[in-house]
Amino acid sequence: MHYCADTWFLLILFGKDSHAREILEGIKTGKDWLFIPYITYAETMKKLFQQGYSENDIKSFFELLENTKKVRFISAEKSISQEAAKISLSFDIPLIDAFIAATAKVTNCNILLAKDSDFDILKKRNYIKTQSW
Amino acid sequence: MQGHEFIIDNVKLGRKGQITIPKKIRDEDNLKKDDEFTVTHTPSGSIILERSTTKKPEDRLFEFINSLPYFDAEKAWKEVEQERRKEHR
Repeated sequence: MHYCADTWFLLILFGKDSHAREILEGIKTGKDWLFIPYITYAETMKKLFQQGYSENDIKSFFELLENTKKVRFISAEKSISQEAAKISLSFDIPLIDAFIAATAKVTNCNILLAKDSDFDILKKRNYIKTQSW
Repeated sequence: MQGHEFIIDNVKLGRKGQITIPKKIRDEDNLKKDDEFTVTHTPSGSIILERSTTKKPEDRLFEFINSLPYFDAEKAWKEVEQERRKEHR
């Protein structure tokens, strides 16, 4: 299974959510991969700063994730940016959501770990499958 | 996340498909013979080379998360969602 993480997943992982942890355990022990768009990295980092976490804690969290085998941070390269522009326009969703969905699509992820209702329309039109709890 | 300077260089592909990582990068990142890498080929043609790690940072990640004070992730997420909507308007 290839997962793509929205900011929601990173936040609940930071918040010790047991299901998020199970997914990461699956990545550690099985054949699963986790792709993290850099845009969700930025958004999560901003929110954690706003919540008063220290730069050291935030950096440690991301460094440990970054060093995890089968976890990859994905830059918004050309093909992803082009796809994001199309999605944002076609489905009238925020560009940030479009970048996340485009990353999931271009990297052939089976599941987008996301709770944002803006992805509902993408789900309805079979663009991407999402999972939340 | 490592605090080194940005380095960009041209390299040539050898007869057997090998490339040489510039010495400056090898020295700075302490790369040694038999170190393993993951090669990613993106749809737009970029080839990304990332050093594989043999450590188990997942375990350290869980330990680290457990050491943090309580964090209301769902509340934080709702705020992020609202910010996205605001930027889209």
